[in-house]
Amino acid sequence: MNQVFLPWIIISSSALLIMLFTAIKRDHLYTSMISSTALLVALIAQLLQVKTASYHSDLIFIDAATALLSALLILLALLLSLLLYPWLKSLNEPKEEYYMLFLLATQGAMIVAASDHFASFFMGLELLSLSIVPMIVYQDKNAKALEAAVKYFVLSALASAIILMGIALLYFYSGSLSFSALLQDTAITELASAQTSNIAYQVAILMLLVGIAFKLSLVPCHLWIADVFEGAPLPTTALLATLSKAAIFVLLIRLFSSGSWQQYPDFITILSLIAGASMLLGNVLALLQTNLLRLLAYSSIAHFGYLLLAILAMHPEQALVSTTSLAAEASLFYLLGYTMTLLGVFLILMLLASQQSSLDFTLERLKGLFWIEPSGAIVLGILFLSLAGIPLTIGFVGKFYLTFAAVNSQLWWLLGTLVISSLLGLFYYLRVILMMVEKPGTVAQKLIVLNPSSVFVLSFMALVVVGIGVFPGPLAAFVQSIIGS
Amino acid sequence: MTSMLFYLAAGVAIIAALLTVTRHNAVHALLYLVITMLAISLIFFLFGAPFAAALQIIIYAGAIMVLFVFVTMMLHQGELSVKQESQLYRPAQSLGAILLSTILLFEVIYLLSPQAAVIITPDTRVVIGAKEIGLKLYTSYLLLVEIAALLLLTALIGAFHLGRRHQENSK
Repeated sequence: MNQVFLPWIIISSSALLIMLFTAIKRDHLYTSMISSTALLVALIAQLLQVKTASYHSDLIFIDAATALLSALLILLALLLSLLLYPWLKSLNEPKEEYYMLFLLATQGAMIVAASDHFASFFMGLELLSLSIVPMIVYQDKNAKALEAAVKYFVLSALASAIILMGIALLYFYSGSLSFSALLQDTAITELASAQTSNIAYQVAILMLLVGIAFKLSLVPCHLWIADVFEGAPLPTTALLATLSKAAIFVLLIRLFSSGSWQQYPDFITILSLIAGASMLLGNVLALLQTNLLRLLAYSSIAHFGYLLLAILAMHPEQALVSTTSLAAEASLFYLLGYTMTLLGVFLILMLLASQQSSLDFTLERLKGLFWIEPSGAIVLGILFLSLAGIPLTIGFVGKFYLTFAAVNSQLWWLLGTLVISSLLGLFYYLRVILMMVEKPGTVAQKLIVLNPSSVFVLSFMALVVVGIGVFPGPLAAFVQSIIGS
Repeated sequence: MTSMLFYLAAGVAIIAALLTVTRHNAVHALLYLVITMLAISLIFFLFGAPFAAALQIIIYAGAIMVLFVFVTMMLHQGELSVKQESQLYRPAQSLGAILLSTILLFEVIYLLSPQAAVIITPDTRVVIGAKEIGLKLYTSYLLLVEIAALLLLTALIGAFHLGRRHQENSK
């Protein structure tokens, strides 16, 4: 086996190790330590080979960019795993299974992000979604969690079936399931001239798009996300919103950055419509939401709408400046900024939740948080500013990059939609912040008990969000060197 | 000739699948689902993959169907379902299933008869048997086998966690 698989081997074997360990003796603390250590070691192993990684087989394609994104995925999982212990401790459930499912889901996300073959993509996707289902319904006999799990399970199975049918049609068309063979097939470039004649090919791509749009909760397929966000336990929601979506988006970038099939005007039109509708509808739905989790769910629809802009900017009809990697850089930067910020928000909510029994997060509950728990509220405020895209945060840099890429590719209509929906977004993000600053009516009570790991995670988050927001240069240069190479 | 046999089997598969999703009774739906599986297995056989066809029957029509029947049995609804079950086994109910599976049976008999072998072989010179599948699985697709193992592990852990709770509830 090649050394590029080292992080994979570490992560999946740590899941097995936890299983064996649990079979002998259940111990929550050790399990938590094993999973965090394994993720840390995997992260180091992954980071060490970012510059040098280059592996290509039938199933898997790993280059510097994929290695960097895999490192991002492991980092997200690592940060989340550091806060799993206090959250799970308060549950009246067996806890070790959660870590196994968590590690296996991380493994699935990494397989999806690195796959170069429809078979490995599909298996990775199933590994990811199948491990998320028990994690959604993990907590107790909570009716909302059950509803969320059933919704996610049925709809995700349906989306997988649609993707599978699309894959089958693509195989029927080209006789190959490998991305590189499929996307760089000369027969397909010939098809570009006579594209209207081949219905099967178009239907196949459309089916793939529908399945991926479901997994990313883009507009026509977004109905499940608010209920799942509301019903699922917080760490699962965080995993679903960051790790799973990021992995699938990475795959979408892969599909779009090579080959020529995506240049057909029909697909561009459909994707533009999806992007525009996601931005607008996501923000409009979030506008008057009083439940914080539903608000985050709708805002995540909008953010992935923004991200689609970067994908659309990848193959411009006429570019102002001819840089090949600008759009890919923009999408990577935005993805990094958004997932880190959102994860930070969920981590703070997890800290809030572990102290209180009620599960629903209305905006009212954040009222006066600033006066009760200044450190937590400041970090949460910074994260929300970053989500809104205010300068000096990573969210601004991401949005700046995105706008730059879109201007470069002259996507004027979508840019207009981006501006309008960002303004809408500003309204509800600031509403959350204002709610926190308001004077509390009731007696102040300590909401968050900070332990060393949560202090570390929170300060790390704030540092990343503000640090990269103020000095984006080094990271941008690094990303550029990796994508450009 | 192969294409005619294929369309016949595919037609049976589609009709049976449609009947599966439109039945009101779970057992009837299962019956048609078995026929769908058998028809698909026949299609595998036609295309020169006898091993895949056998697996399709053993795993889907055999093992998974038994699981389905077990689940349906466990969801037994008492008095009401006993009353329904007396309606269930009228011979008239099985006519559709018998008809569809008879078509498949005739196809198999035709395929196994000596004169069919002459007609079929030119189209399907490559026979994909257990050896070819095994070679593929354990060389170029080895990683997929490993991912499938992880997938099964996930399903196992999930089912264990969810199932255990039901046990505790009933105590």
